Amino acid sequence: MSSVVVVGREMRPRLPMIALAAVGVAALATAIAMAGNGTGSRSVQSAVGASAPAAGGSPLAAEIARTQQHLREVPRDYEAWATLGFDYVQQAKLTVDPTYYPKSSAALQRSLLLSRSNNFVAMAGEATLASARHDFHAALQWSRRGLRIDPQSAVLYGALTDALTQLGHYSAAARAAAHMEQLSPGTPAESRLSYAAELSGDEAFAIRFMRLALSNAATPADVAFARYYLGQLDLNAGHPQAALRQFTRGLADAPTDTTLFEGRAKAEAALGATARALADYRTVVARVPQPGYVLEYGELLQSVGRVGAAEQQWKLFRTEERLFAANGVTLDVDQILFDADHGNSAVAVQAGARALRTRPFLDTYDAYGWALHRAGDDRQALVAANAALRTGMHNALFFFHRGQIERSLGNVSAAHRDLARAHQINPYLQVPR
Amino acid sequence: MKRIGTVATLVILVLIGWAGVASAHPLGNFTINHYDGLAFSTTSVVDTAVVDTAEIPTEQARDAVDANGDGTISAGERSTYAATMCARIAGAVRLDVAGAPAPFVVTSSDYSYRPGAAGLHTARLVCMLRAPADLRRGGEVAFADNVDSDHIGWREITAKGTNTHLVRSPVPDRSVSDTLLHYPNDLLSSPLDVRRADITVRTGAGTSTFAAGIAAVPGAGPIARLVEHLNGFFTALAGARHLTLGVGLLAVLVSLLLGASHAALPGHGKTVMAAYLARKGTDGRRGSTRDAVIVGATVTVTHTLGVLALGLALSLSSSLAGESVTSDLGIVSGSLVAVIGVALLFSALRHRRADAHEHDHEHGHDHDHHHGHDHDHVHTHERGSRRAGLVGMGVAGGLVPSPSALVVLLGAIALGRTWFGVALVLSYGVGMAATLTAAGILLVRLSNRWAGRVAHRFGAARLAGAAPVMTAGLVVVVGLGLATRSLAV
Repeated sequence: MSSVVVVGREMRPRLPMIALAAVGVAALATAIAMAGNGTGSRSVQSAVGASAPAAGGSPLAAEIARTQQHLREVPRDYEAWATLGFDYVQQAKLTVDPTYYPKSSAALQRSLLLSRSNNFVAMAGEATLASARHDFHAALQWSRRGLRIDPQSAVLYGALTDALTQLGHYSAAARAAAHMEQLSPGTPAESRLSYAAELSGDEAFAIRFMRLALSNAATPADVAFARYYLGQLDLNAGHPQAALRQFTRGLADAPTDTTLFEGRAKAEAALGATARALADYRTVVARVPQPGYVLEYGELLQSVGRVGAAEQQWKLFRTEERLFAANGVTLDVDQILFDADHGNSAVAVQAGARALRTRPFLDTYDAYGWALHRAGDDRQALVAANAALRTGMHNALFFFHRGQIERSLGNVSAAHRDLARAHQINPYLQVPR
Repeated sequence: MKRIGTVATLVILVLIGWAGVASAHPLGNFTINHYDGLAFSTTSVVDTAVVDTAEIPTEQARDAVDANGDGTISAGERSTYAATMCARIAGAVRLDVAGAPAPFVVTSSDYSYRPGAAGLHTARLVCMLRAPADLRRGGEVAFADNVDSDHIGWREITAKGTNTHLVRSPVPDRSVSDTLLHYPNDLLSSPLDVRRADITVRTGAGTSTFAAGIAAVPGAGPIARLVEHLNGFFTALAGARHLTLGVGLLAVLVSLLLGASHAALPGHGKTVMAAYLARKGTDGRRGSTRDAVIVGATVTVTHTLGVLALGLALSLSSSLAGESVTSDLGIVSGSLVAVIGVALLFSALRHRRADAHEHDHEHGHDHDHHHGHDHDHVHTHERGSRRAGLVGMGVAGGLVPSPSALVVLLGAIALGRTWFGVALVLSYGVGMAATLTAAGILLVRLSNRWAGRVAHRFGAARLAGAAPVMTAGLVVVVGLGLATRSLAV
């Protein structure tokens, strides 16, 4: 999924001055509180907010601290609430800390409560938040509502592009991304253009746009993002050595970026440097035990025969599945493929059908097809596998899955063609046994 | 009855909802949260290190806790794990006392589970760590906790003195999360991320001071809270999108009230006292209503000009930090009072030598024109210096701009309503002046009565000579106090 750190500069023309005042005033207010007039509750907040602007130390964290302080002084500024809600979503993505989601939602609701009619900034926030929570239908509606008010907002075009992509409207998404690049050229638009190109099977353009995104990257987080996807493109095209270079160079700029660690682990595993890959995965899973990472780690452990250690990761994944379900989140593709490969194909088919309703994306079709294949319904499986490959994307895993389905159906020549295609695209493709 | 029933149901629903929310880890299921509570005595540093792990990392650690791998976790396994983990933390946190490393040893450890979301658990590790340290003469202490440094989570440090006290501690003495038991659930706060603290420790049971931005003791009185609400209302009004006449007038009224309540705060009381003492100190004469008005008017003018100047400077220059400017102004203000005090002291000492002469003049302004030219000249000069002293006091009192007036002005400038902001700041100043004048008049009336009674009881004549010197000395002390407070903040 293409999710870029979008810092919407055009969204807050008035903030800097007020924020500056607010910082000075906050310090003053606290100073006076200490001198004995006891505005206690505010002081506690500033101990939480203002004195710790370094939560992550990024420009985004600093901006969040400023906006928080401003809102303590001017609690009815709906634009500032919208900006805060929007920044909380970005921070959730950047720090992989899901606590920011409910906060973002509450901040955006407060903004919309203060001003409902023309509040396109809050609508951009709602669209981004909905995308982050995989509610792409809502994301599409919010971004369209916002664009009716401000048809020039690049941020809203970004949200629109993401929603259209995940809902399977690929050419409309590509047009929206192109429009976004016209409105505001830069990393956010270029990385989306790159993704659109990749999905349509045009890797050369995908790489070109991502390189452009890299050269325009303004923050270390943007650099890390562009490097990660450049590495990912190399990996998918069967160039793990080039991918490793991208990840390593990215880590030089953003040494704590977990996605780059995970990318490096994948590249190392493909190159046979298993010990190093395992060490990197261990770091990744200790830092951010995301279900996807846990699965990859488990699969690598299993592939080198460390079954017991792999089982531990499966167990952890099952726990996370339970926890996410309790929070109303399904792990869609990861969960479907895992269940399909670990003797739970009926559950996987159900989850796949459900996931297609909320996210009719290529990945989902592929996973659903694989689940159907494991459940023995190869006829339906082939329909889904064809849908996954309908845009012409060069995805080795999709071709591999379709080849296996065709082999089951007895269509030997088609199977041979697809499996050869998978090998041609990425000879290093790792599939769980 | 029916309504009461509905309300009761609502309350119950809210409580259930609350419990439902509280059972999941408030900071997200992935977090590992660290807290270090440092306590400094003359012989040691004690660290209460707490690690609160959310559901997923707790699950990840389960196999390490379950040492014999039988699938259940016994009390013995828990305490072994606690000891291991605390030893690791003791080895990983860094403490330097006066530049030399001071290693921690574990004095107790505990690892316990709490119910979390989806039938899972969260875990709480509590380690008591102690490092012997020679702080009998105080010293500089540096502490850093980088355990799990790249894992997301809350990171908090607090510091307090036991038979020592801390100077400008960068961390507070109280945990805002109640040692990771209750995280502030505030829309306007981000997770804390404090990993190190450099602390100056002094011996003796003094009061610890904290760097700006740190709350020493939270908990506001009802009046302070009311003023805070008014403040929020005020700033919101100035930033209102649609400015009507009614809203404008209301904003002016509120700013008058705010100015009045702002002037009632301790610092300004001292100014009035100092002004009154100054007036009295010059010639032993008691203050008049007119003097109180002079002080009030000067405060208003100075405060308004000060806010306007600082507001203008802040909105023009991005390099100027409001904090340092106002701190400097506080020092200037205090020093000004002290200088006036010193001047008073000199003149009081001089007058004491010319005691008899001075007493001749004690009959007030009404008779001025009866005096001869020479006397008149002297008297005018005296009155001039008194007036200058009063104005100086007023300037000192109004020099430090109040934060809410400043934010209103800057907010109004930012919204393109500069003149409205200026009007509000002006009425804020008028409100301040009203309170200060009223306090001054009250002081004048009370002390006139008080002075009469006391003079009757004691040998007032003997005291009268020493009083100007004493009061002048007091003015110096008050001025120095104001200045050092600004230095310390």
